Amino acid sequence: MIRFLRWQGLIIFIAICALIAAVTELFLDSWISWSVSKSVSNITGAEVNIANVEHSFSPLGISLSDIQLTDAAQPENNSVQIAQLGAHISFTDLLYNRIIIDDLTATGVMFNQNRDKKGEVYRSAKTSHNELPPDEDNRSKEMDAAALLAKAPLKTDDAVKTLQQRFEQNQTELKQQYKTLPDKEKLKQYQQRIKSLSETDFKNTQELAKATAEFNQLKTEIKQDKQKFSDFRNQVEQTKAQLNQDINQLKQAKDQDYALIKGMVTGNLDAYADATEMIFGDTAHRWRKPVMTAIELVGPLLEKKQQEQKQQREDQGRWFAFDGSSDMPQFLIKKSDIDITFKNQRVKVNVTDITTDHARLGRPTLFDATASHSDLWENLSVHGQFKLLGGELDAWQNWQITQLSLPAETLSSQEKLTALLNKGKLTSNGQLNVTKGKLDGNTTIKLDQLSIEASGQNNITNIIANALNSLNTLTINATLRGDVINPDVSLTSDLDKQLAANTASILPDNIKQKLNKVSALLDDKSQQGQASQQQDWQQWLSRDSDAESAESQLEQLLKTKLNNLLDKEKDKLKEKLKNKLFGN
Amino acid sequence: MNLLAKFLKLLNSEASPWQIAIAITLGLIVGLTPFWRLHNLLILLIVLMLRINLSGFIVSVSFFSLIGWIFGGLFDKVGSELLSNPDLATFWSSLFNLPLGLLSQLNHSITLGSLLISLLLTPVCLLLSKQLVIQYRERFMRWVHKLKIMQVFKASKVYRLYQALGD
Repeated sequence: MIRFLRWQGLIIFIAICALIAAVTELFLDSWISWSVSKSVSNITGAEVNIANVEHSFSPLGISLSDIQLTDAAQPENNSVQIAQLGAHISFTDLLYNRIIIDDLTATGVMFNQNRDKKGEVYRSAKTSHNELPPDEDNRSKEMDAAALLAKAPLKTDDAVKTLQQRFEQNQTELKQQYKTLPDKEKLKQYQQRIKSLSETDFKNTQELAKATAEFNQLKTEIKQDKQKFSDFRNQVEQTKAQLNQDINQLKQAKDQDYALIKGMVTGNLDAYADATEMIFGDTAHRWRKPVMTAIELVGPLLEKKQQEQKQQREDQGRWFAFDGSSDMPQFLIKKSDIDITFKNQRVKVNVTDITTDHARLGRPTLFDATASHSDLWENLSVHGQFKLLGGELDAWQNWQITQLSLPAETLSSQEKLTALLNKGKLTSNGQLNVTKGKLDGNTTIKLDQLSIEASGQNNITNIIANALNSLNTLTINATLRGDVINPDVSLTSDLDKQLAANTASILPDNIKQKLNKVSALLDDKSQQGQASQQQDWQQWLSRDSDAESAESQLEQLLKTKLNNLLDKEKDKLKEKLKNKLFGN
Repeated sequence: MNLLAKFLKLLNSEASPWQIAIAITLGLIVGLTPFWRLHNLLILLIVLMLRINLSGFIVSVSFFSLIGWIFGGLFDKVGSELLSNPDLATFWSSLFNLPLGLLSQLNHSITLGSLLISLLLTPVCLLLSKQLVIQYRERFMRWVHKLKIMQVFKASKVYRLYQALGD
């Protein structure tokens, strides 16, 4: 028996096992670090750094330190950073090919922190809102009105062309129909023939029958011709409607061209009217991110993991459980405690049932962040839930932030406009819904006790600066739409209208004169475009009037003469009957 | 190339047909079933500790891994049928509540299906491969050597490698 044994084989076996254990021990942390970074950066579209990963086999768990998620929109910042993340993993469930984490803790979670080094961005996100419009185009400013019109891609020219082409098409149709209309001579003939029939004294029924047949034939002809007049008049109506529509479009095109040239001359003045977005956009987005982290970051992460698991399930068979846990999802974090550090204040966030398979679990992921009264706020709470069903994210959340103290920060630091927020309080209540991955939310952000120091470098930015300096309260309406990962957020307030009105009134005289000239030239273009049709159109209107008259005459012929003829014959018959009956 | 040359050398050597057949059969089990499983660790231990030809085993694992990949759907179906069979539920439950049962990962449809099929094929494979080795040596070895394709093969790098190993 012993001759069949290969003792050195046992040594090789032990060596292989030791090698696998050594490789695992040596490279597992790097592998975890790499795979977590890769997965998260796939979602965020920017660099993810993990300073250190440690694992333990008993109890089975991992610990990640100093996790930094680069903000794709501002790569010099981290959108989220976590000082320490720890998780205990159930070994038994790993044998069922499930990752079940009973308790996950995250401490030192912070938002919008500066990075030591600018992070790499793999997928560009929406950029800063805090940008003034580009500098005025001096060349445009110096050009005269005619040169400006020649330079600009005018919609008025296109609208004129369209108007002329459509009128020409309609006119061709009108001409064809007009040719088929009966002339005045034919109308006279109709009248004479009807008159002749009506005035004839029929001697017998044969003559009457013949006249009736002739009259019916005449009536058919008249009806046909009347229909031609009717068709012609309908065509005139259609042309009129089309012409009105085209003229309206021409007016709109003229207004748009005027706005375009005004932008060229004044340096896109109207863009300054979006001051809320421009001045408070970044601040609002900075406060939005912590509130929406659960939905904007965790939701898509789970969605991605769910897709990977689905692919794996299809390729790699099914796992059966016989310990009553068959309805357990493949990935589940039963409970997580997240400790967010926020301006030296702590916010505790509890999240339960983080999973990729809500259908199997039968309940959504719930998250809840509450912070009691502190120096920074009166009240802060965020509640919500989300679930992944059929690969789509459905979620809702509501939040209440009351009297949150805004720190001193720069709102705008551009050459033309500087604005510094000294202090302010933010209050926001809102609700957000996500249906099949699409955001839908409206909220109001009330800023009060505002103190802003702003200064401008030209007439326009001075107006904005003055408005900001005098601002004490501001109510911003925020709308959230679009994808969860990269939402479209628009901010509006009364400040926009106020600034739009004020900035328009400060145009220098020479610019105003130039714009008046541009307006006059555009009016000329528009009128010239319509002039060529005007004469033709008047002619068609006159023909329409004639057609109306002719149609009316034919109608009259059809009604009156026919009735008279029949009545006359009826009267004759009645008279004959009376004579026979009463012998008169 | 090296492995194939070694295997050819093995077929033409004086090694016992049983030795080769056992190597092929154990390779069949490892090849057909998912690699990272407890039973494969046990088979590896057997292969290394007993004087089972390693070249034959490795060639067999490679060949049957390809077959296993092709028949993955069948293994999944067989495994799923057995694991979801209500009559066997008590058996599975008691098996997988044992630590060793759970470590075996036989609650995975492909693992169970492939292991079961490979175990059913074991006696067939053992006898067949033994017979094939004997038949090859008795009848085909000379005939194979005379084939034109073999002549071409003999002029190839693989054969030179094989010759060099034989020296």
